Amino acid sequence: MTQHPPSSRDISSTPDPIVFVVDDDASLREALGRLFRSVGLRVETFASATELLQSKLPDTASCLVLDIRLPGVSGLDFQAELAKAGIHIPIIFITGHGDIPMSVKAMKAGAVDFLTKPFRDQDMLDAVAMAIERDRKRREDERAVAELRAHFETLSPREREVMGFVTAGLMNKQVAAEIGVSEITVKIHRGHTMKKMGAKSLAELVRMAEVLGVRRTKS
Amino acid sequence: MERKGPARAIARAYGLPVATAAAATAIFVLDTISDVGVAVGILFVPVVLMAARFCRARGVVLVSLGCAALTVLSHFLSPGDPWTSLALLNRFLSLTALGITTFLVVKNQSAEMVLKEQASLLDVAHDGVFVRDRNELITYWNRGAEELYGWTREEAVGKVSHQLLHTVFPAPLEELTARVLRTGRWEGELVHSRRDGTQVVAASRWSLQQDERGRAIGTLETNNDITERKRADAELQRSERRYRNIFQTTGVSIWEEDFSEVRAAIDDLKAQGIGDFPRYLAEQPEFVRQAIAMVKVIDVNDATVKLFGARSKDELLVSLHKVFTPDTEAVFAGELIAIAEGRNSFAAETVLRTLSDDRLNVLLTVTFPAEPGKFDSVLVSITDITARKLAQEELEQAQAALAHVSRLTTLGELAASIAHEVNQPLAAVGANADAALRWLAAQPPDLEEAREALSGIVKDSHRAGEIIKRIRALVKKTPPQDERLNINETIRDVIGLTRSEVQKNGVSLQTHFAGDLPLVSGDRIQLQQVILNLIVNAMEAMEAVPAARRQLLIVTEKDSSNEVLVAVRDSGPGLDLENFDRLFDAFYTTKPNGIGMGLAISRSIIAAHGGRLWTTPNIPHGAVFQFTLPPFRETAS
Repeated sequence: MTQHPPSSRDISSTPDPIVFVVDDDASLREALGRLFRSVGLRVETFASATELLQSKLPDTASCLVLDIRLPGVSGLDFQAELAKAGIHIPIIFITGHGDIPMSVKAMKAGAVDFLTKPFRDQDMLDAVAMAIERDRKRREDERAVAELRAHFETLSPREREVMGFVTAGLMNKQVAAEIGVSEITVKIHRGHTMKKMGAKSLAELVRMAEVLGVRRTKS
Repeated sequence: MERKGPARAIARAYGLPVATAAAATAIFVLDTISDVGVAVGILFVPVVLMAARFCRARGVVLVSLGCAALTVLSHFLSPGDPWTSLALLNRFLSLTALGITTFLVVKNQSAEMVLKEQASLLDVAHDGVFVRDRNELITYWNRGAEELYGWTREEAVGKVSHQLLHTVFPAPLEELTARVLRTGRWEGELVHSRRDGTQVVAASRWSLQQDERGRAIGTLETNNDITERKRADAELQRSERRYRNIFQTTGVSIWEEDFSEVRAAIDDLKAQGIGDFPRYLAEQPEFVRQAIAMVKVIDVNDATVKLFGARSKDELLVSLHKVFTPDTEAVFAGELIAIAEGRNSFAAETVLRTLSDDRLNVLLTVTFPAEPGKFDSVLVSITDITARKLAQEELEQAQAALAHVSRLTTLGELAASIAHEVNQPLAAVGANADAALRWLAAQPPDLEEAREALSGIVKDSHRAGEIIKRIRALVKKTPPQDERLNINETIRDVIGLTRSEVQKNGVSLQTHFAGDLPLVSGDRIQLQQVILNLIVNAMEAMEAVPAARRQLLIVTEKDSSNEVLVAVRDSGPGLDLENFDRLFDAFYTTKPNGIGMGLAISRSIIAAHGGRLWTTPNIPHGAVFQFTLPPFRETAS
């Protein structure tokens, strides 16, 4: 049997995507585990939300397949709890009842999909693939922002000031007047900033400033 | 009878002998001093008569001899020549008179003795005996008569008897008297009045008293008080009449049967050492048939004639075989066992047939006499319960139909949750099937994984099948079964069906099942319906409290009388005390969509299982619905 034992928590370093399954019904849990493994996904199964929270989540693309009715904490409550803790794992809800108000609530809170038992396996696999893709994308975005921030950290205080005004759309002359230096000095700072940030154009620098939130608003 | 003063008694005891002695002395002196030719000795005759008043025969003879001696003595002492012929003749006459008198006195005295003895015998007799002369005047009145009528001898003697006693004769007195004169005796019943006015019924015997010459001198009447006996007889007759009346006119069929031969046969078997009659009769069924033939029908009442469709009672005063069915034979065996064990009654339901061969469902009751000798009259009463049975069966059918509808209603409420229960394994089956296909399609195929997935499918399809089976059982309309049940398993099945509903409502369900419970007997479906009903009620009640406080606890235990107790405790708002009593009434409901049959049906189901369903408040809040079920017992065949 190639199923990963639930106790193995040494998965944070591996890059493969993981599906987490939380369902109190053991046989459905096992069946879902088999289904996901058969398409080459790594699977971790849990009987309750508490069990999942007690384990260390790996830093890799993943998604959560969650039964909306769980003993103890309900699926919706668990979704809210994860959001509060800043864990942005995509969630696919499964339910035995075609419960429309509940599914609306879940989707509004950011669920990827809402499947009614018995679901079509392809629907489940598609939903999981989409969720993992979304997670991977989110992780990439996060990594890009982190890179930008690191570049930004290398700027001198004056360069950061220049970057804020330039990306706000001020002319070099105007920036010089604002910070009380010559236009030439502004030009030099601007050149250094572009280089350190790795921006090839002003438009790119503006987008970076936007992401970092350092763009001055015109006053 | 009358009391006498002591002085008078002494005078009576000693006065007369002293007077007699004085008279004798005076006569002797007179005889001695008078001339020898004067016959004074003749005066000794009264002395002998006086002595007879207080002496018995022997005493009288002695006194007489004394007087004779004195006569002879004074003959020689008297002046004059004692040898003259005149003097000798005088003495001879005196002595002869003395002798004759003595003889007569003694003879008379012994006759009186006989009479006195007879009279004292009559006194000893308990009957009231009196003698009346030809003028109906009472001449004799014994002690029994004194006691019976309250009149003393002194008061009664000399009275006209029928006036004293206000006698009521069965025929005119003249007629009776004429008959006594003709035949010498009469016997019959008379009514006399006592001194205190109360009446006495007397069995009276009259016999004619005649003198030596055959002339009627009176009648001896002996009266025996039969008032008590008459009353007891009348009472007995009245009771007999009343009993006959009841026997004849009551609506219940009553048979008077002679069981003496049956009793004798059973006693015979007992004498042969047979003790275990149930076993003996099971092994010797022909004895039962023989015993049936031994019973003789003595009498039946009008209700019996009517019930069995006979033209007259004579048609039934024959063998019991005419009305017995094979079922009755088994019941009759029970009757024999009851006799053998000395029980005083026996009752059983059985089936008899009428003379027109219709079947009768009856309740048969027999009361056995206390004394073995009285088995010649055993009363068997037969109550026709055919209509009652029919009504009962119809009622049971209606109740079953109602219970079925109620079950469907409850299941309808749970439909969504039950569907979820089925969807759960179906989802697993789908996922496993897809996984298996993929493992088989892989290069190279992973057979081990595929096998795991397939065995998962087998397991889950069984699980889905089980759920469907349980629902089908509840939905199906089956006649009630009587089986041995483990109540914990029965409850677990129901919990399986409601699990999803419990979760949906955010209820935390816990069970505390005792492990050492006796089995119960009953219908699984009906009991599951009760449990289902209680669980659904509890969940609905708890909708009124916040989800975190919704707790449902199902407890089974053995109570002090070894019965199985099932309690369903909820933490809802509890019961409305005002309508507490109506809770189990039909069509009473506290729910907007309820029909109010659930608890009424549940209670009747539990009652039919010999148990009890009731409710109490839960601590600290909520309600407890609990029921008991008697443990399964091996019923005697």
